[in-house]
Amino acid sequence: MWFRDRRVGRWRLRSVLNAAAAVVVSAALLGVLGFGYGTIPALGPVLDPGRGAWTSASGGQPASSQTLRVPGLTAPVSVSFSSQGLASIDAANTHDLFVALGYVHAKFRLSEMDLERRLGEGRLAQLAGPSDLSSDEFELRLGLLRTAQNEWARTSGQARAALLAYAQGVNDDIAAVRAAGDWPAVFTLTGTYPAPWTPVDSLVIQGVLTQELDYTTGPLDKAVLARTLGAANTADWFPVLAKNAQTPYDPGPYVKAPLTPVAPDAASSAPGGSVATTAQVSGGGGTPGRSDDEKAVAAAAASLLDQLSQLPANQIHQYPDSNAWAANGPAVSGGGALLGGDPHLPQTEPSVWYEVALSAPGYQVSGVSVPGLPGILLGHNANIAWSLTDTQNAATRYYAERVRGDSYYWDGAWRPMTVVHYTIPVRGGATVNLAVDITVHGPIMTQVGQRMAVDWMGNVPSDDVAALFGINDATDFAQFRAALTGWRAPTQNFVYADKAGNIGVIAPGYYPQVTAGCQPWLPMPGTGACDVTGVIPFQAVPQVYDPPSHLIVTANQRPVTAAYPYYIGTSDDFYDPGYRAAYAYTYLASHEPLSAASVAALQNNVTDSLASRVLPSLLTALGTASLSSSERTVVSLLSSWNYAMDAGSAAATVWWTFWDDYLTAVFEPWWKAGKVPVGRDVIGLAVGPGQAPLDEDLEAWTLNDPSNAAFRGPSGRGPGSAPAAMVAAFRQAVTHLSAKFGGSPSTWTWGREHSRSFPSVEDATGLGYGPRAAGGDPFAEDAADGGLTATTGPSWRMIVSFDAGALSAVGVYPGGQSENPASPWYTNLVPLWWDGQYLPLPVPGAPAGSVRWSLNG
Amino acid sequence: MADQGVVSAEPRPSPARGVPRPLGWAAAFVVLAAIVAATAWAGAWFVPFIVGVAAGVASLRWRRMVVLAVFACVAGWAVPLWVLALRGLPAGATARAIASLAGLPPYATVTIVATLLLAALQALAGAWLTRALLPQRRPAP
Repeated sequence: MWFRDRRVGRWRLRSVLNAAAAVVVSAALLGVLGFGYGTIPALGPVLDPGRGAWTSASGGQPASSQTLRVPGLTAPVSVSFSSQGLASIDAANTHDLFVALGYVHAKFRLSEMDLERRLGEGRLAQLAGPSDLSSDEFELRLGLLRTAQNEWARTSGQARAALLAYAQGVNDDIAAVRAAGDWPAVFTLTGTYPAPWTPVDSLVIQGVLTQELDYTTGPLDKAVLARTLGAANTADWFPVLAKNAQTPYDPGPYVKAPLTPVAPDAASSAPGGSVATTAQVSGGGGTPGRSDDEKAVAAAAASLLDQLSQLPANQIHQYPDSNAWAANGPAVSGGGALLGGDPHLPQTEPSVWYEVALSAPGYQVSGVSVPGLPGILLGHNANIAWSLTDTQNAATRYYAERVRGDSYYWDGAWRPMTVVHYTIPVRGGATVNLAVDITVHGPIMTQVGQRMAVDWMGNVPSDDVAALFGINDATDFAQFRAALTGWRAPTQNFVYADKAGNIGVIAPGYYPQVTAGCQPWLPMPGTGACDVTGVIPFQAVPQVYDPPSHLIVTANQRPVTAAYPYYIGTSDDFYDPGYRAAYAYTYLASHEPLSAASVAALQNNVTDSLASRVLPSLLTALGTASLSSSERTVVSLLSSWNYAMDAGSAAATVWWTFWDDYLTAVFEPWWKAGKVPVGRDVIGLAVGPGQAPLDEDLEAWTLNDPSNAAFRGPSGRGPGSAPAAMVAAFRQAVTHLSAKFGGSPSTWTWGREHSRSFPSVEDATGLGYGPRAAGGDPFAEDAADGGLTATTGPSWRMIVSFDAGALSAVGVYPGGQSENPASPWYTNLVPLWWDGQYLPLPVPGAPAGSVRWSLNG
Repeated sequence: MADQGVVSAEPRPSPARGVPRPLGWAAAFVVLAAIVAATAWAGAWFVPFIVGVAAGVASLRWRRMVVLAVFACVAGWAVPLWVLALRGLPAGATARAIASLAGLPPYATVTIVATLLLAALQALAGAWLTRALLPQRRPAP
């Protein structure tokens, strides 16, 4: 009997275990499917084939004519689309126009808009989980949200009405999507749906653009370099004025006008100006110690650089690569005016741009808009056209604060810091609390070694939306210029051409000046001794109107000469080395009279201007060197090269590899000897072609100072001269390429080494475009930046010509109007862009194509 | 109490007893698939689990009911995807996008297989749960 009892016992045990396992597994399965786990989404509703992420397919179908209800409208609005997706909106009044623009933006770019505002408002981790927590903490410290709130409190008139109307349009779309349940897949996958859109969200997106264009680590890098390379070498190799020849668009003469005063906390991002009104804490705090302690400052700089290195790509400014040119009069075929613009930004899918024509009584504009913002940023109206490049002036100042408890020392007294508290929701993790300390200079960005506050242009309230309406409405340069008086950030070169045949450029913005004797290119003491004393007055900012040369070229070069009476930044903080500007001036002057076709050819030109300057010296040096047969083959390739970085050019590969190796041969020994912590900020600290001052130095020494002490190296046993260093670098390059590619040097084509890639904004594998073999490099007009797999370049190409008063405008960007990867309009414009082709811009007030949406309130 | 829910051993029913005819199996399959498809459109993603629970009960009488239920659930979830494609919507491209955004290999089949697998897993889990909790036959002495 005992064995029967044991058998029954085992059976019972198995039954109980089986039941327990079934309950646990079922509960776990349903729990994970219903609620998700950690960053795993609730897969049940996500993959429900009738209601889940699958419903995003509806946004991927080709647009068709239909009638849609948009409650915010006061009158019917017509939206038409070309077969490529270019849009034209025709409304009865500007209120309805911006409601419709918000609606159309959201219809095609809702997840992009939500991602951008989340980025600026420190809410990415709520969507993406702990991996984006460092980004959220950085943004909340920096204060884009606080600045946007300050800006909104100051916004009035037409800009306020437009922002409200725009938000209404976005929310009308969100409501429609919520009712239908066909959310873009990213929302369904995360279970996090977009909150209603507000005007502050639009202003945050304006701030994100400013950050991506103008927030820099220059002073931090310089502090690290000064501590490792020595102050003398750093000053010599990273000078205020570049050593090579430059071609500023504003050659002077210059106006030396008194500075425009600003409030002490103009860029603090403190809520409601609370810093400026803070009362002093007990005055008997004693004498502050040295707040500019070099070691502590370097430690703080290193700490902040560490933080910044963890941010998602392209969150702060890295590559200066935009072009905008204008020509008029005898320089132009027909004698009118011609404008070409191609802003170089991170190239993503979807693009930062949405192409659209806007039409309402008194408002007729066409060009590219930024999803999230009302208005046209680059484009034309019936009378004028404009494009933008980044001015690049240094406007990120770091202040080493002297802190005691919750107070900091400034202007002779201890003062309480303003503290702002945030909670950061984290998907799949615990909510994080963050306290941000703010001084009169700005938010404290790091507490390691030394409390470091940052004063930067993006925290200066800037009435950009009103300025945009002003230039969208302008009919001549006076109105255009006047509209930009309120523009603070990001500082931009606004290049202009008009129907009457005039051209011009002006660079409005925030140009902070500090007390004489202070060094704004390094972190400065926060005691008040080096505070911003004012900004360059509007009448003195770089500007030109109808120059005698009939040409204007902006390509992120220093816009003024050494005679300019104000400080606007150093060579590393952060102007372009000027190769594109110089080449464009030469090209345009040599192709007069210019036409749209010649501007298009220049926009797609991949000539490396630095190569044309340096290669003759290299060939001269190699002429006296003893070379192997393969090296002689490579020399013959270089000798017959036209300096074009074409994908099929082997000489281009040799040149680029040589230049990189040449920089390395000369500077790397110094970096190693000084133990420069390159890993903290590879882009800002590493030796390479991305370091504009090093390119400029080496070019200048090669051409004019071939025995510079730098060639001897820190040990004194370096190559000793430019020719010797070039020969060594050349041999190194040939060895490197032989090992990498093998075979005949003629097969080492640039396209095997170099490509372009347009990643998705979500950085999702498979949703981007490329990598695809491509020509170009950072020094070419058709720039390719971000490494050998370039991700930054011409984000939009536009040409507008006024010929005998008649306007024609074409443009293209490497993407598509829809963010839905399943849409035929996702990347449909890429092939056109790649082949250097353009499409006519939609005409305001005219149908863009046969597909038409009738929007009714 | 120890024996509660446990039935004593009895002679097994004859194999022929309770087995539906092929038409009956087909009708059951179609009905279940239709229910699963309709409820998927309504957002009731958990219905395959409920079908699995029901199949677990039914399997005491019709042993192959669990297999039928699993296939019916898979078919039921495949129907909305099929309709999506029939309507001309880009189901394949959408599947690829979902896989990419989820951090999975960017292939449409990944999302399609994952979706159908989810239906099958739910049905199996439901059936298992029922079979585990329902009274079982004690082994014969």
